[in-house]
Amino acid sequence: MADTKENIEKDVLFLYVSISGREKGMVDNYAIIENYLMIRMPEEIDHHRAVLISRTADDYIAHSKIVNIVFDFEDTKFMDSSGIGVIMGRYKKISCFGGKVFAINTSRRIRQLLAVSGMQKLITIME
Amino acid sequence: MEIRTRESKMCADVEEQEPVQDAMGAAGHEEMQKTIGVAKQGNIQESGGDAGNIGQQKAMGAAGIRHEYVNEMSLTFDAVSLNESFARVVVAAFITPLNPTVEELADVKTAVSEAVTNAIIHGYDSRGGKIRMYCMVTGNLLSVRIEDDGAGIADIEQAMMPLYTTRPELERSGMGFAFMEAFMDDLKVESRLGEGTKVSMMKRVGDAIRTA
Repeated sequence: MADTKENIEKDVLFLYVSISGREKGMVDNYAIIENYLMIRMPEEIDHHRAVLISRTADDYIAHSKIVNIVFDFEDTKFMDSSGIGVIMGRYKKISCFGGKVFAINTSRRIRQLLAVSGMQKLITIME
Repeated sequence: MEIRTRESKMCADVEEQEPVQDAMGAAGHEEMQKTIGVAKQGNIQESGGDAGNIGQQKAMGAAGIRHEYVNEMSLTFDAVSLNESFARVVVAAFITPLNPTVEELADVKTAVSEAVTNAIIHGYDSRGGKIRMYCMVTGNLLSVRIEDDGAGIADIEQAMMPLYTTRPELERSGMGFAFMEAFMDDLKVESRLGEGTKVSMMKRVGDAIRTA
């Protein structure tokens, strides 16, 4: 397979997914791998939780050399439009610097929410 | 009150639906109560022969709906974001006897979460207040009403357009009403500037509860 940018991105994501699968003792919900900010989303994402996630993510974006963001929905069982707001807000912040947003470990439900809100046009969604 | 009603998507059930829809207004609620009273009477007196049948017939005549089971609750809670989860759990517990599917449960929880969040952020500008939640189950039809006495909506049509938000600085996606509409069968919004907002939603869920 050619070393295209896309393939490298996929490799990094697969690497992350396999690591997080083994390291259950991961303390932080945020991790920086290369220039990717990984965010492990909580079990429930509503307005109450979204505020904190946005603030923390913005902190990382401002103080670290982050280009892309990956939202990990493995633990997520519920999300409302506040979650969409978090994704949209981060997308706006990094897309002007050429950054990309990914959603990984999405359930059918999460993919449905992303589709209803039109996010699938802006971000890369992986199962 | 400026009333905005979305047409019910359940076209096949329109006739059955209308009386319930009418009942969603404040005055209509009383009407509903009367109907509930008669229906309950009918159920209890069923073994009493004619008297029971008359009761049931009255129920059918009044609303054109055969009430299998009626359950109602109302709850008042603080308009703080911590209670968004609480409201979701309440409605989920309330409809559990209907045996909702996992998806129906998620749909209802999401819609309620959106309405409550709107009341907190937009109704009360995150400064606090009281939110009232009314839920009613008739047969397998869930009706939910979320009320606040907050700021009210200036232009309901505009507010309900997807991606429109009056608070872009809060990173609101503007998808709240769009989600409510997508996941519930019916959505009605009543609001008056400075007086508050009522969001009424309905959805058929699971199986009807039948009295033993």
